[in-house]
Amino acid sequence: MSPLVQRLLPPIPLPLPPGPLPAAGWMLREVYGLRVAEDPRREALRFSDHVLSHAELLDRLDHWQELVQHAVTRIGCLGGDRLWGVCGGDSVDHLFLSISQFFAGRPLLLLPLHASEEEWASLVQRAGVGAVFTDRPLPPSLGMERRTVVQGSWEIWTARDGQASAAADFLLSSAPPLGGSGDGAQQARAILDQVAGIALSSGTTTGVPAIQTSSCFEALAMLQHPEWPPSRRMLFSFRMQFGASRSWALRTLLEGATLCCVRVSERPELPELAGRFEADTLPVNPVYLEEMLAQRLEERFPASLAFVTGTDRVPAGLRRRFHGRFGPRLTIALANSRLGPLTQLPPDQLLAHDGESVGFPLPNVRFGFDADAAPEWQAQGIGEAVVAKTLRVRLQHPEHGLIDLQHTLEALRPGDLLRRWPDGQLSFAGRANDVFLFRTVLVSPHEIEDLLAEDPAVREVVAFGAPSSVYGAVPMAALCLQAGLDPDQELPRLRRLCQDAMGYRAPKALIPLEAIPRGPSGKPLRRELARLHALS
Amino acid sequence: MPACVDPVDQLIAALASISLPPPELESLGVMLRRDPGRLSLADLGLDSLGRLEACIALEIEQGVLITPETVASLHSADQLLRRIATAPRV
Repeated sequence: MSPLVQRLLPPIPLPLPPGPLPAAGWMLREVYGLRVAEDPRREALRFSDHVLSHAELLDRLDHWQELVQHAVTRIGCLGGDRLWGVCGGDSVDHLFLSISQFFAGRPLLLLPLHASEEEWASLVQRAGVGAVFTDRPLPPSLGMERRTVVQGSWEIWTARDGQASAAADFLLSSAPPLGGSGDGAQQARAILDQVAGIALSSGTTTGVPAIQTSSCFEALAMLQHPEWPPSRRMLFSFRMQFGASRSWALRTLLEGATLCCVRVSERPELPELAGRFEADTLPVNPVYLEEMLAQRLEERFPASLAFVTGTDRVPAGLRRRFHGRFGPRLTIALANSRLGPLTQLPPDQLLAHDGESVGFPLPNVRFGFDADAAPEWQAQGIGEAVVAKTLRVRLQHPEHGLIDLQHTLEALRPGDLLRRWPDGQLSFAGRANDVFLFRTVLVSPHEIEDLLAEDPAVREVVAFGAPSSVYGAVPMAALCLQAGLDPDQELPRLRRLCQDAMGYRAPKALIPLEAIPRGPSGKPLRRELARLHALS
Repeated sequence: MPACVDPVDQLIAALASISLPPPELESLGVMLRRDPGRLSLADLGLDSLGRLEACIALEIEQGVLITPETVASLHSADQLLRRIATAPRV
């Protein structure tokens, strides 16, 4: 433990494990223990017919840590600086294992279950995963072999050649730069070095496998002084973006709130379940929300707060259906798995700016514009977003009492194109790599999608720019028609509809599909469609 | 839309796809077959944006590779039809 952490932490008798110190994160277990001690019987977790208090949860976490410790001792794999992958289906064991290892300071990378074998191999290789906790056999191409059983179906697999990569260094160097040069920032950096230990982003979107520093810092903030405690009782559906769902679960538990887990394999009807669990918060992804609304289940929607995660915007159709149904009890917050909640949209402004707004930045979030944005974007009042989020952490100093540390996490050039309206609300103008240049004109796929999605004949639509050496990118749209409709009749009509509304920026091809290809998080695979329909 | 073989049919199909197609496409087709040398590109509605859209439609729907710059260098519908007939295919 560094002298700085020794100085800042309260004088707790911390049981140090034998041998080399774990790399990071272990003190969070002790801080969580203090939180639990305040109200040990408070409900922490509900799953199936079981209820766990926070004290029982802590016991379970410690139990899992012992199991893992025995397992890694058996195979002589004690190194705390090795990056461990976690691969498992939606289960509470997955949560127990992940959080216990987070507390143990073991750097983790949550592997996306639905990724292809090639994506897995790439992720494991890029991130330098040396060992994997898994509840299922791993594909041979990963070059891993089964070593031992932890408990039940959970096993440890390690790299076949026994060579673990220098993962911790790699991951820390891939973290976003830490802003500020004052004493507070330096102290925060030093603490981050101690607590960095878990990956909450699979990296399938960003290409960066894990951002531990921001996640750990926010976890610590949750334990010490939560700045964003929206939930007291959260229904956890597993149906969000993979990394985001784990992030929410972890944060909820660390806040001392209640997490109600539902297996997605049981095909739960979430509004009904949420009512039964008396949940006040239900984070869902937009895809599932659309499904619920399509089944006209919104009347039973139980939430007081809607988090829309894993997306750059809240679809206009979704807002309209919410508008007026929920009155003052519903708002929408935009969040991502990397920085957590970023904006909040009041219920009376759900339709602000034609439904484009993602709301006002939360008090600790600052959106800026990159001055070097492309001239075409600047002319339209759009800038590439620079997002900074300030987190405060309070630590009890044995001599100086409560110490406030303020730290700013910056997500530089995340690829989002942002527009700021005169009243301060923000809207996304698409991702920089989604908006495409058709000759000299910028075209947003969302503009095409919004137009076509309005038509009753269209069930689903996704627009994209098909690459062309002559035209830059040619606007196109892939769509699914409602059942029973004849594409030969509908497509020419829809084509004319687009041309009337968009002129020469209209999609040059409408491609009928049975289903829109989507990634594991539900996002449409625009790049794949663009590749398939590339022009000369 | 099924690809056509005849250059006139291919051009008419492409013109029908642009956002501001020329009026009376049917009679335009008749004139293109009868005496294409008398028709200018402006008669076909092919201004700069029209050329862009028509060329994209020719490539996507008919598999004919011809660029807007090439079309801009031509003077009559006759020349355009000959270019379409000899243009590389996708």
